[in-house]
This record gives sequence, C-alpha cells and structure tokens, in this order.
Amino acid sequence: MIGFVLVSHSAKIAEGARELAEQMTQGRVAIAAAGGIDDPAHPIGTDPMKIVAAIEAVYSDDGVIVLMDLGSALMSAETALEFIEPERAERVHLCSAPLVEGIVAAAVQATAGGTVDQAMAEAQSALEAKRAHLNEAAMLPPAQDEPITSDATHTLRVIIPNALGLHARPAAKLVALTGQYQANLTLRVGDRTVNARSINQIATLGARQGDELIAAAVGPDAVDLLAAVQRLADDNFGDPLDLPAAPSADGQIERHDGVPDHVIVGIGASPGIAIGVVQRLEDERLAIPERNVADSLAEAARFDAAVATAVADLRQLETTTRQRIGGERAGDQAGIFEAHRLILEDPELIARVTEAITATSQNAESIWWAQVQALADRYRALPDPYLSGRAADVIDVGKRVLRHLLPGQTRGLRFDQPCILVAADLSPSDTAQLDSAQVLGIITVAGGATGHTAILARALGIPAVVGAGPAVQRIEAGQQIALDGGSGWIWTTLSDDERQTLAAQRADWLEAQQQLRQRAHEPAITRDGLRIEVAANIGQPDDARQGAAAGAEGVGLFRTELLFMGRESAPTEDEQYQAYCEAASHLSGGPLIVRILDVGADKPIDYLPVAAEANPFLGYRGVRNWLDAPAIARAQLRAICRASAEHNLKIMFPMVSTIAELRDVRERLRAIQAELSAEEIAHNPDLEVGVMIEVPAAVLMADQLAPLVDFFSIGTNDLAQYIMAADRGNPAVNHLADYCQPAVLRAIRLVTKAADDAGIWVGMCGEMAGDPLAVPLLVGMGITELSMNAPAIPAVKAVIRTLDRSACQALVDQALALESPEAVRTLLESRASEQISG
Amino acid sequence: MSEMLTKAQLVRWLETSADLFAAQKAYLTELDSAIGDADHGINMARGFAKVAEKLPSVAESDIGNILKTTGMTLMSSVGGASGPLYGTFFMRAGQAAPDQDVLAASDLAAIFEAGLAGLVQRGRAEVGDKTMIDAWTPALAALKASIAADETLLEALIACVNAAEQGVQDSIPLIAKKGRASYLGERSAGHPDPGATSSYYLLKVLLETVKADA
Repeated sequence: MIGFVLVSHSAKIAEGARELAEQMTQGRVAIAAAGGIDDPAHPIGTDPMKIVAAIEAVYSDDGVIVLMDLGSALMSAETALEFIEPERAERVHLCSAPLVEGIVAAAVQATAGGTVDQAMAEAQSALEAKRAHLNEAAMLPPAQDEPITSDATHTLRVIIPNALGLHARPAAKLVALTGQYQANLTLRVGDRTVNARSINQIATLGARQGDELIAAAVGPDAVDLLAAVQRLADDNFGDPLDLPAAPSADGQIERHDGVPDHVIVGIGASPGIAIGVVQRLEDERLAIPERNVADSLAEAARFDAAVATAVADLRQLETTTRQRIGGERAGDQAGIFEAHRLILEDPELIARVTEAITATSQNAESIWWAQVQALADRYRALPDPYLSGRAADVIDVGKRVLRHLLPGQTRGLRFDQPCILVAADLSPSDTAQLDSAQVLGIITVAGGATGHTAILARALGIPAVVGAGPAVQRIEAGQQIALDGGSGWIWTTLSDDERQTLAAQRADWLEAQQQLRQRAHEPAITRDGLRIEVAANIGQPDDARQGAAAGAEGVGLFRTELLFMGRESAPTEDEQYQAYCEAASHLSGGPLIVRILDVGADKPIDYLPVAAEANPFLGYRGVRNWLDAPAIARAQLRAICRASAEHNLKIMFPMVSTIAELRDVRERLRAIQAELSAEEIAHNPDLEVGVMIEVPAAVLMADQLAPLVDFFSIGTNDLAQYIMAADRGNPAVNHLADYCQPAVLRAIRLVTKAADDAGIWVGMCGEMAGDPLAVPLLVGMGITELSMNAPAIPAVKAVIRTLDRSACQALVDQALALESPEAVRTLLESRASEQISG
Repeated sequence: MSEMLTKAQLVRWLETSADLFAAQKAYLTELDSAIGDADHGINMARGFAKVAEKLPSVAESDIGNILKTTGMTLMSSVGGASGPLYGTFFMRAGQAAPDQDVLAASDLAAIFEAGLAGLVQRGRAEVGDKTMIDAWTPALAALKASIAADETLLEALIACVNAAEQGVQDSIPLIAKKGRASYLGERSAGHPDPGATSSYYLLKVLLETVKADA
C-alpha cells in the first residue's frame, strides 16, 4: 500500500494532520510526520534529513506521497529525494495538495486500494467539497497557478477529439510542436498539469476522448503555439478519424477484413509456423553493475554520449523505415522509432538521471536502469490498456541506451527457454546471432520482407513476421502465441482448434525443414546442370566439422586470425600445419581455402604491433603488413604448403590492391616452395593461389590480376564498404554499405567478366553469398563457389536448385540497369515470389 | 597570479563565519522580520555553529570533503529555506573542488560556479527575484573578471566582495518573487534580502581570512 509523509515547519501541525488522517484510516495506512527541527529554542523549520528518514520509514514499492506545507518545506522535500536511492526516489511523489485536506483524502483513497495516481488526484481535488460548501464554485483559472512572470499567460481549452486520447503519437506530436516555438507550454487535464516538453508526462496524463485539455503557454510565441495546438486538435491529433472507440483487450488497433480479433497481421518474412511463449528483446538479461564512480561529471558525460548515440540510431531507423517501406505502414512503424527517440529527448528524464549521477556518484547504468524501470512502472499503472502497453517501449529504449553504456555485454542474446522473440526492431547483428534452437520465431514491429532481419531469419530457418505494427508491443512476455511466417498472421491467444491446426502445420513445416537439411548434403545443381560449390566460412579447425554437417562441400574462407590471437607469440609452423590438416580432415577431400593472416590497427596482435591509426580500414593491414613480417609470413606459408601435400588446400591473399603486391606474395610463395623441395619436404607444387577482391583498385585491375592467379574470391562486406565509402559500424551511413547497391553489383560484374576472360573461377565469401535472395544474381554473373556461415547452407542450396542460368543472366541485366538498392531488392523479391507461386 | 587559498584558510573561513553569524544573528533576523519569517539569523547561526562543531573531525581530509560536510551539516541544521539552499551550495561546491589541498583563484571561481548552479536549480529563482542569487551572481562575475585580468587572489576577492555588497544594495528596491517574502508582494520592496545579505557576509569573511595572511 502507498505510504505518506507529512512535511510541515511545525512538528505539531505534521503530527496533528497525521492523527486526523489516522482517525479515518485506523492504522491501515503508513503515515509519517516530518515536522519542525531539533532546536528546542526555535523549533519551526524543515529538515531534509528528517524527511529522508520519514520516507524510508513508510516506503513501499507501491509508492510514497509527500504532502508539504510551504516555502522551505518544498525545497527540503526536493532535497530529500536526492538522498534516496534513485529507484526508490522515482516512486516518491511530491504532491501540491493542501496538507490537511490532502492527507485525509489521499489516505482514504489508499485504504480503498487506490494507486498513487488515484490518491494524488484525490488529494488534488480535496478542496472541492470545501469550495462547494462555501459557494466558491468559480475557481481560479489554472493559468494563474503558474509562477508569476512578466509575460502574460495564454490559455486554450480543447475537448480531446480522438478516440484513443493523448496516447504516445499525439503526445509525440505535441512535444515536437512545442519544440518549434519560443514558449513554455503546460497541459492540464483534470487536476494534473504537465510540461509539454515531456512525452512521458503527457502520455502518463492518461487523457481520454472527451476530456477537457487546458493548454497554457508563456513566452514570445505563446499565441502562435496555442494556435498550432488548436490546429493539431482540429486534425484529431493526427489520428485517423475512423479509429475504433477503444482498443480491444489485447491493445490491438489495426483491423483487417476477415481476420479474427485475436490475430494481428504483419508481413510474412520467413516461412514456417512457430508456437511458443513470448520473450521480448528487452527481457534479455543484462548484468547491470552497481558501483561508485570517482568522477561523476565524466560519468554524466558518458551517459549523455550514450543517449546521443541511441538517439542517432533511432533517427536512422526512422529514416530507413520510411524510405524502405513506404505507404501507410511506414508512418506507423517509423512513428514507433520517433516515439522512442522522444522518450530519450525528454529533458526531465535525462536531467533527473544526470542529477542523480552527480548527486550520488553512482554509475550511469544503474541509475539509468532504475529510472527506466520506474518510468515503465508509471506507464503500467495507467488504467488504459493502450497506454499501459507503452511500458514495453520505455524498456526497449532503456535497453538501447544500456547497450551503448555496456558495450560488449550484449553480444549474443540468451534466453532461458525456447521462445518467440518480440522486438521493436532487430539489428542484423542481433539476428545473425540467434540460435534457432532457442528462438522459435521472430516478430518485429517494424521492417519489411526485404529487410536484413527477414533475409537472415530465412537463412537461419526461423519463422518471422515483420512490420507487425505497434499492436505487438502490447503482447505480454510469457504469453503463449503462434505465428505463421508465410501469411504474416500472429495469434495472440489460441483456441484448442487453432492450436491443433497450427501444431499440425508446424509438424509439416519441420519435416520440410528436415528434408531441406538432408538435401543440403546433396550437390547444388541448377536446372540447366551447372554445379555451384557451396562452402562454409570458418575461424578455427572445428568449425569445418560443423560446416560439413550443415552440408558444406568445402571451406571457402578460413580466417586464420583466431590462430594468432590471444597469445604471446605467433603459432609455430608445426602448430599451424596441425590446424590446417585438422580443418581439411573434416571435408572429405573438399577444398580448404586458407586466407593468410589479415590484421590491422582495429584488431592488433601483441607480437605484430601496428601503430594506432586514424583509419585502420584504410591502413596497414592484410598483405600490406604481412609482407613486412617475414618470420610470420614464412611460417604460415610453409605450414600451408606442407598441409597441401595431403589435403586439398588453396591459398588466398587479402587486401591486394596492386599488381606489385600480388607479384611479391607469389614470389614469396615460390621461394618457400623451392625451399621445401630442397629440404625434400612434401608439398603440392601446383597449389592454387587466389586473391580476395575487396578493394576497389583490385576490381578495376581485375583484368591484370586474373592472369596471375587461379581464382578470385569476392569479399562483399569490405568491398561494399570501400566502394560506397561507408562504415558498416556507423549507423548514420551503414545503409549505404549495402551489397545490393548497383555500384557494388557493377563491381562484381567487372570482376566476373575479367575472370571469365582469363579463364579462372570466381567465388564469394561475404555475407551476400549466404543471402538466398541474392544468389540468382551471383549465379547469373558467373560465380561458381559460394562460401557462407554454415546455417545458411541448406536454404542457399535449395535456391540454387530452382535456378536456370539464362534466366539468372537476364535478371542480372535487369538489376544492373536499376538505380537503387531498394529497386534491386524489389526486383529480387518479385522474382522470388514468382518462383514460389510458379 | 600565484597565491592559493590553503585548506587551513578554508577551515578558518568557515569557523570565522560561524562567529560572524553568531554576532549578526539579531541583525539578520531583524532583516528577515521585515519581509519574511524572522528566522534567518537564528537559522544561520545555528547552522554554522553545527558546522564549526563538525570541522575538527574533517579538517584533515580534502577540501572537497570539508565543503561537502559543511553542506550536509547546513542541510540538516539550518531549518529554513536556507538549509537546502546553502546545503546544496556547499555540496555542489565540494563536488567541484579539485583533488588538492589548495585552491587557485580559478578553482575558487569554479566551485562557486557549481554552488551557484545548485542554488539556481534548488530555488528556481532568477536574478532580480530578491534572493541570495542576487548577491552570488555579480560576485562570481566580478571574481571571474578579476581572474581574467590576471589580478591577485586578494584583488579578485576584493572585487568579488564589492560586487556582492552592491548586489545586496541592488536587492533593496526589488519585489520578492520567491519564498515567504513573496506573499508580501509590493511590501517586500525597500528592504535588503536577508539571504543575499548572509551570502555577502560569507564572502566578506573569506576576504578577511585571506587578507589576514597577506
């Protein structure tokens, strides 16, 4: 139950008011008096420490309401809050109601099981009865309650017209509007007045259709601002006019013909049926450290930086969602990210955290998380199911900031049990880490079928519904739901019939998946008879075993960096020889392409120091530094050559950008081979040599590089970054580094043409190779080896079997003529759907 | 400019302030009786007496801690609005204090600035509202201007105290907009603000402490 604290300058008044209220509640409510100061000669005053003690004495998680008399009582109470744990302080509410009337009304409300908000509202209206009795019906207009100021206060009264009241979207619009004018705006509904710059305060007003909203503005633009508020209200606060009067119990607001009430329809993004309990991305467990910091100002600055990064992420998501999706859905989905951003731009929330950090010298993570939870609790306490559902958004945003405060901690999502994962959005990196044994299905608020999340979900074989809209944020964690990643339907509850039908469909789907996996061990041959070699990317020898189990016919990329990292000296020739032999032994004679050590200033190795660089990706890396480390180069070359005696090894050089570099590495290799021959050590003298094509210079020089090697392997991740001059790690530009960019496709085409002219083969080992949607283009361009992360293999092989080379070549011609990655995706998507229907 | 305010001087400043508020108790209370609740002198005397009691136990720790302890002590012993206000001032000042046993004039300006920011946040008052901010704001500006002009610590403090005194004078015709004085409206004009006055006293004692060693 709620606790109460009475603060007065006089101990007698505080104590007297307490006695009066207790008479009404008969000891069922905890009330503490914090009146006067401990100076018998001058007992009148207020003591913040006394208030702290009183709050602690009556504290409960249901909340504490503090009523004060006047003057220093307010300041002392505010000061007291700084000495209370932030998580608790968030639940302590200072109430402006009159002391005696307020405590009696609020305490009575508390005994009736009322929430803090209800008790606060009771206290605020406690003078009504008195006013009525004394015939003071004409109350002062609320604007005059505002602090005295030289500027006049202008007020506007509107009846809230829209069906859902001031929910998050109208609140966001009001905040955005206020920010455009030089004026302060307060909004009053009933007895609560809030700052219009705070989305959390507006949304937690709980204003409903038909309520009277009193907007009071002060400042040079006050009149204009109120006119704009009036226009917004006239526009139904931006809500469509035909929204239902009230959201249904599960908070769902979008309706489709012929769809039952308990079904939400999104975009089917990855086929398959999933039935399971909901886990939200925000339920992912994070260990939040609690510690004291030496420099609280620096800590506050660190917090500000994390918020700024999160705001930038959200702006980017908002823009890309609008661009990629288009249409009415886009506004809805992008609006979620906008609302999330506004939560973070709420000056009151941020100031409270920053202040608490400096006041308590506690670390930002613990204070932020406490504030986020408290805010989410405030939303949860709202009676309107639509608004209380916003708690999930608050937690979501909170997590986003935490991820920036705790870098590294959130790698790899872990859940307690198999679940259906619900999230506002999933980043490609989040999705790529999902384990299909843990995550039965994926639902996102935003996104489209061609989004990265969808592509990756398909490759991982996880059923997914994306772009399901805000309604899914209202699905409770732990609820049993089902989804069909083909039709895009989400069942928020399940009747017995539905459960049976869906379970049967799931069994069929699982069987098809199983067949897919089995067929993954057969070769992938196009309908016109071209065999495409499907291989795995690996980082250590044992990965080759897992790759082979998933259907890999070989390894297209062995990144040798892991063999060199986390140790004090380079692995010896013998150690490397063992590693290469072990990897090859899992492949039943299939090829193992070993890429020589590729390090730079972004991932330095102790014994191969690379000085810090401003631009590691444009720096001393790959063959550029490997050529200057003769001992390391020699040991690695010897190990690879020796392993090539018994196994099907090939060697590949990264970051080649000039013909001279290639000649240099070939010469090194030739010298090592001669050395081994002289020592009579077995090796394959015809070891195939390849270069990775990832630097634009190599693309443009491909015709001169090709005659000097046996194969090319295109690394699309780096190639896309270098072609587009855009860092994948930078949310402001990472959408540019997209392998569907026509510029990237044209680069690939140049490479395959040069290879074709020289009669060498081309493989691909970037993310694009594992994207089932992109595979027809790659086959059409003449790529004959695709190397990817093992889980994507079955789906890629299945796609290859549906292809016809001449149709793929026609598709390439169409794609190369397009002007944007969106257009390319649309083309690929329509081809894929034709394929399914045909 | 090279002179520093030492930790010993800081402690002496606070002790002497206790003596001063004991001596000026009646005057400050009289000022407050004109426009407030007639307790400012009593409150300040009580608060600083407690500070003087506490000082020996923290005199050996760092400057930041001494200031923070002063803030905590004032917070829970002053009683009136000046409790949270001066309490916040000294706590914020302590948080901004450098990790040293001496304060350069620029450090002093920095800790006053942090303290003043705390006052503004806590009291939500502006210059001209007839509060202690009307003394601190010009005092800090003068201190900073002197530092910028490369004057000595002593010269800077003289400028600072003069500006604070002027701030108190300037508060006389103002109508109070904060605290219980604001209930008096027009009637609060014509009296100096007690909070601004006690702030000026604090600065004056600091100047005298430094002057005594010069």
